[in-house]
Amino acid sequence: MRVLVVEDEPDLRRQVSRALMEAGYSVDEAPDGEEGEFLGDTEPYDVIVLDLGLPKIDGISVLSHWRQAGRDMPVLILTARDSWNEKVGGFDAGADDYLTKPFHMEELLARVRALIRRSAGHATPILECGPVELDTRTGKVTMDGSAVSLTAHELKVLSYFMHHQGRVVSQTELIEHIYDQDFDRDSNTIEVFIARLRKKLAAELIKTHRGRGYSMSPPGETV
Amino acid sequence: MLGRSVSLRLILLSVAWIVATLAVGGWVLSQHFRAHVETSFDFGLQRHVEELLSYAEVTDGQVALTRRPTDPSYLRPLSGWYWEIITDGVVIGRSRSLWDQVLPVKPVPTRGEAASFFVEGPRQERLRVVAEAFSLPGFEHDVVIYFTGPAVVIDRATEEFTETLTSSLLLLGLGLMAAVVLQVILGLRPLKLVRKKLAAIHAGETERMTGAFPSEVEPLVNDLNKLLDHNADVIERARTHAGNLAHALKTPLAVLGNEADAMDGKSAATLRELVTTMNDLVTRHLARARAAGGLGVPGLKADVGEIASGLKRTLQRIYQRKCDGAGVSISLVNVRGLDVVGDRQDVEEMLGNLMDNACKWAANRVRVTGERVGREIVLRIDDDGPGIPENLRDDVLQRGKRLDEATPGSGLGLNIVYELAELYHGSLSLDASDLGGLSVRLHLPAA
Repeated sequence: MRVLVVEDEPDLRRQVSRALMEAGYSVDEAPDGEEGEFLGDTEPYDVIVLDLGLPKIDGISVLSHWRQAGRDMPVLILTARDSWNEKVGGFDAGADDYLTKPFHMEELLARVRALIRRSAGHATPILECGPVELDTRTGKVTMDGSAVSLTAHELKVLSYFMHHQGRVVSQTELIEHIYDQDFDRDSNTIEVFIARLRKKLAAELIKTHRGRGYSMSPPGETV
Repeated sequence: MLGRSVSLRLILLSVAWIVATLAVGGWVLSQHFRAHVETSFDFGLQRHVEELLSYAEVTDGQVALTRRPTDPSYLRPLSGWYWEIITDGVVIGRSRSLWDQVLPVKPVPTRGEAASFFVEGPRQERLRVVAEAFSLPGFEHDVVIYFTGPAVVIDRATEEFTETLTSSLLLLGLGLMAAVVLQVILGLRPLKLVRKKLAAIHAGETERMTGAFPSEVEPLVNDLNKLLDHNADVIERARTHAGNLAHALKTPLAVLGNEADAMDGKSAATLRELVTTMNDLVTRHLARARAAGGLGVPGLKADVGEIASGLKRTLQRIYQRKCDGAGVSISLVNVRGLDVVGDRQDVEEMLGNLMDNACKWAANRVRVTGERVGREIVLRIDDDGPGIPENLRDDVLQRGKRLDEATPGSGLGLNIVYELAELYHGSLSLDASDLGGLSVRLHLPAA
């Protein structure tokens, strides 16, 4: 899952990014509205954490721009502006959630998780696919009830599949949502991760669709 | 009093002027009239003098009258109409009306010049006298002729005139005073209009003074408008600065809080606590600064209906996953078209906090009811949550008091609303709701 953090205060940006990375997300950072707007326009993010008081272009303008351009990724506004006037303005501009500073980092992580889940159409924080269970709050994976140990990248790939079950996911899409923009992307590594996941979980769990990509669906369902 | 009211000043000054002018004018006129009456009276006597002179003849070195004036006034005894003709101190003829009396005072006029004056007559009445001295051919002394008439004739004519004049002038004076009062009222009406517009601004109906004013008042109105604009500008800037400061503080507080969270031990807890306290302080004082800045700013009003529907939209999104994803249903009853005096953001803050509280505690229903009661707007926010027991209701309005420490929130919400409402001369009260939960009543002055 890929997250963009648009925040002009460097310390806070670093804290939020670090917390998100530790929670297993790939994180891009933007220090001002201009860069944030550009990244949001061009990269496929699963969630964007957006400050309102930004240099160059303010957060509300950036958000309005995205929504007008048809970009519908979930946006969490993280701001010191806590008046109802500004909250109403934020939601009316197209925000999906609104968190005011100062905040608890767990609160931010919980809201980011919830946004990703909601946008993928899941109601509960524990995702299931046949025998496999993923707790999005802790990142714990179990297979038939017993814990499975995954590396950070394996978890990212599995989490993306679990969120988008029953749908063919192309390699490009996977790469875009798993790596941040500075990562040296290599499609071969994806194949390696998938091979490892099949080995650690179950071989038939992730299907290959030649020339199109991969899919993961509960047993009995086909794509 | 005289120093305070322009109307009274103008009216009193004008009245003083009118009284003085009319009094002087009346006096001059009556004097003039009297002089005129005397002149025509004298003219009549003069003609009699000339008539008598034509009857005087010199025979044997003596002056004798060939005839006597036939006017009956000069025959009736002591009528006041007398005549006398004198040469060299000797009376050679006198009117029958004089009877055996003599005209008492007899200044001798210069020859060729008719003299007129008043004397006291035989019956102590005032007499108007015309006297003239002539020289007759063949006679060495001057012949002096006196004719008199009762002065009461002159006095009466003058009196009558003065009476008529006085009543006319009195009427004129009253008319003028009425005109002055009318003029002052009409003339000062623009000032009254200015006052009315200012009152409207104070009541929050308008923000500036509009309309046509006379050229004398317009500069004042323009200056007032400039002052109002400047005032609004200063307040807006002060509020923006207060807001910027508050928000600039919150980001470092967030950083500090997060660092504290990442640390262990007692000092981390202290730090975390301090961050919370500082944040509460910033929030409280920002709200107060904003509200205090908005107080007394003329022309402020807020549309409750618009604010409530914006808040409803937002809160339904915030609480969309409450009750297993069913969300909270918020209904707005009769809030449309209700205007309260106050800054829009402040009213939004009050209503937002109350509705947010209601949503937080509600099982799934929140209802906002608006009503205009006299000069107040009463907003009732009801929820179907657990409510607050009667004995604890006063406590939740206290600063930082929270009944449930587990639900997120700093506990400032209700208290901030309470303070804001008091600043706006409104009030906040808690009650049990017919929906089963809490009913919060917010009273605000209607615009």
